[in-house]
Amino acid sequence: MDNPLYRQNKAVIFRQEQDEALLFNPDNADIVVINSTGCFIWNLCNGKNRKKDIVNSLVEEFDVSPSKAEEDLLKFLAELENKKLVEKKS
Amino acid sequence: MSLPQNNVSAPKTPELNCLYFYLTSYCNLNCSHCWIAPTYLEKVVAPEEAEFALLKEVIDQALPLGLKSIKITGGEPFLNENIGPLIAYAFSKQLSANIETNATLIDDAWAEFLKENSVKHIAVSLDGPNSTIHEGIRNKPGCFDKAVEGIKSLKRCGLNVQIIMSLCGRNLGYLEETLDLAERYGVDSFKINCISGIARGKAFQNQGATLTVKDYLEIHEKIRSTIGPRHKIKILFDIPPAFKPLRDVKNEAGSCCIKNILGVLADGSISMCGIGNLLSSLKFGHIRENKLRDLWQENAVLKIIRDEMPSKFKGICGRCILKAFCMGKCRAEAYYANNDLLSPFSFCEEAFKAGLFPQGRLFNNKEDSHGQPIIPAK
Ligand code: SF4
Ligand code: SF4
Repeated sequence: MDNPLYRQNKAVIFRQEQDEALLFNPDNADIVVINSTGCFIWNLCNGKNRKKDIVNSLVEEFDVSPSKAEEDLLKFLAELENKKLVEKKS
Repeated sequence: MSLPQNNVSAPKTPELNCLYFYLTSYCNLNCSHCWIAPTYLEKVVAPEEAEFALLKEVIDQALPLGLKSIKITGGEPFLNENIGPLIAYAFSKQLSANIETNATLIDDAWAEFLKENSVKHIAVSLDGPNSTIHEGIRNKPGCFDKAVEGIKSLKRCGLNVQIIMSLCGRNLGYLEETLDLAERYGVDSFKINCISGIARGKAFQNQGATLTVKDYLEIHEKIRSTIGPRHKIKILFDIPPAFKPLRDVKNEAGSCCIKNILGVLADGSISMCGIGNLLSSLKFGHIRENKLRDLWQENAVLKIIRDEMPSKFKGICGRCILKAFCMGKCRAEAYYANNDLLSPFSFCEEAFKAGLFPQGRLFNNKEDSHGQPIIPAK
């Protein structure tokens, strides 16, 4: 489980407007607004990328160290998972 | 294969988080746009309505159902002598209390009392920056100065005060001056309301005194781009969330919590909210005759609210991606207009017909629209 796969919950509504996006499950009222980095991560949660793949993409795309990228990524994905917006698979 | 009955748990009744006390059906102002349309009363103390023991009884019965807060409104709630005991009782039960008032009856002694009883938030109606504009809409000479004195008393006690300005053709040009006034007196937030299409609000609309949906959307944009950045005070615009930028959708409350509230009317009737003052079909019973728990669990209207909202919303509300969050904005207004709790909210419906509803806030054809196919099957 150290390098899990992440997949978007298909029921979730995603709307990007300018540099931010709205994510939520239409069956409940829990809404998450994410910034452009969040959108970048969301698009990588395609059921094919594992945690390390996403960290590598973040390091390539943004000016961030691998350890900081991983720390922030895990925090962000934990929130999405908590709200049932993404699913984690080993 | 059939499942044994005891494996199937009954759907949970939601918590009754908040009671809205419409404490009196009288008001000492006579506002052109009021949706409750209370009876005008010149003198300061309204005839006693439900006695305090009954109000206390409602709270006592609501506590085990999940009660956490009360909102006290009216008419003008300070006309009813029960307001003090009600606030003190709520405080003794650790409930948070919010008040909506025209502030004309609030003096330093009242402000101190509210502070001592930890009233959380006081929303004061103020429709303009001077007596001509405010009193032209509220139809009572002298009420501007009294409201401002009330606001000053509340702020001197450090209470959290919000000004609510109901925006219409007559005061649109005075929005910035009213914001300046709010900042001058240290008011904490400023809410802009659209005029509701109920009761006197409807008559006001019919006179052409209100703004169109297009006007409201333009002013909303202007507040975001120019007026807001010029002011420090927090500005909330009460338009449906479909028209708000994403970051504001969540931060600005824009909907009522219809699944978790009940209205208590001045005579002790229990209702969906204040709409029971106008439509007896949305009155559920009376605290003298019914147990609150029975009404909360069994009432047929509440069942529709729980079981059919938002999945069976009609029109634009059925197609809106924010429906579970917004709950169709104001169901009282929808019912008042169409006699149907599931009917679309008029502001959004009008915007949609005028091509002003944001396409990105609609379910698109590929997505499940949750019970409402966008393109009906052939
Ligand atoms: S369409 Fe209905 S659910 Fe959507 S924002 Fe408007 S009122 Fe709310
Ligand atoms: S339904 Fe409308 S009037 Fe009733 S509580 Fe909700 S917003 Fe207020």
